[in-house]
Amino acid sequence: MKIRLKLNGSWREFEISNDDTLLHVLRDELRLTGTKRGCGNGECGACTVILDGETVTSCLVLAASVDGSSITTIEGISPQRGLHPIQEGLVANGGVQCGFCTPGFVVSAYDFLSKRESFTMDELKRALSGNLCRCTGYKKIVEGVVAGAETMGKEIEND
Amino acid sequence: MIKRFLNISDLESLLKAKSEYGSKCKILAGGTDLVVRMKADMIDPDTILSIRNIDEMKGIIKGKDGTVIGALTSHTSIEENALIRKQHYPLYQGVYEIGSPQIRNMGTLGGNIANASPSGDTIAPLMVMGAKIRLMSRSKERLVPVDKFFKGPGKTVMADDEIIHSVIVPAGFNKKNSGFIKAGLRKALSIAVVSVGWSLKDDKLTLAFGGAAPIVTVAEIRKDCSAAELKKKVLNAISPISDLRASKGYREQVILNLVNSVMEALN
Repeated sequence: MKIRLKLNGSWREFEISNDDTLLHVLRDELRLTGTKRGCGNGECGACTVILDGETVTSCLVLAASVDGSSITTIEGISPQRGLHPIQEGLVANGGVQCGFCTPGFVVSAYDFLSKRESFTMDELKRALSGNLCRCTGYKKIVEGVVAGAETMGKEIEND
Repeated sequence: MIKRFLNISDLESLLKAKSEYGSKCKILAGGTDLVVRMKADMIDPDTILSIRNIDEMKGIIKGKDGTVIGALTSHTSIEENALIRKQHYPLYQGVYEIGSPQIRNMGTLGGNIANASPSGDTIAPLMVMGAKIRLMSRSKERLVPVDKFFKGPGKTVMADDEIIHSVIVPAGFNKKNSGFIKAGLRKALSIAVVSVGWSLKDDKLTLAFGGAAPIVTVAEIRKDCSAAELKKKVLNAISPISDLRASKGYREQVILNLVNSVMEALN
């Protein structure tokens, strides 16, 4: 079947199979390989994208079901040149090791931060709880996101 | 292989399609259970009825017999709703514990019910509040009390042409007289090893146990009953299995510990 998606701001139309996941379409058809395929069961968050304003694990989304939807991937968050403040924060704070989980974390953090002016550390940790990292542990990732949030002018409240 | 994929955007078309395709089709709401099972080759539906765009089945409104929650309402929407937190506290706690932010954005209340997992995090909360499930088909509509809805893991009383339209939940359950506790192996993204929902009305305590029998089960006890009687009633209500998440003995002990912590908080 044919579907239309507003992908990172521009409408695209393409042919898909009924069984295709959104992750498959993004990576293997459109070559947007920033979105990673990890567990394939919605548990690791490496494939996180923003679908109609909310984060989802794209490995569990059947592409045929989101015809007409708006999707933001890591490629739509990262600027053409340079890095997004969240990405800069992660790099500066040692929040990236192998990097496989990083795009998913950036998408979750971006969605969380773009919806509020201030947050508590508990809220931030819960917002990132759907993304798994097997290299760094989470401390440096959280510190990196906090650094990005500060650059973005967000305020951190006490828990 | 999915032969037929229908994107449905209104209730009437859904009821029509469900009566036409019946057991050959699966309804796709959030996909957090269905797509996982399709990928694992546990099911191979011929027809998918995708309902994510049926707006009339989303939302939370105050009705005269309680709060009406549309089957397609996401766990995130339930968690963020002030009425749920004030009047249906166990359900707030239940959806708060589900999966992860992504899974809560995708997953729906109707999906959690239809999946009929013995560990479904919304089921014990709905049980202790005496919720009713509104089922609809093209020809009729019926209300089924949630404690009469489940037949076994993945099995419910629903007929092939029926869909879950909404859930009606009596109000008046706040954090003083009700709650839900989940014991998982880690905080996020874990399926409950066991869970306990509870509500207190006068001296009667209603307990519901998740992950401890083929379906979520219920026990009713007096608030001031003896420790021995409490243990007997709880163990009678459950029949846990040993599986990859925990052994039978561990599940029994954790259920008893959770019930004891509820009793301690009350007395």
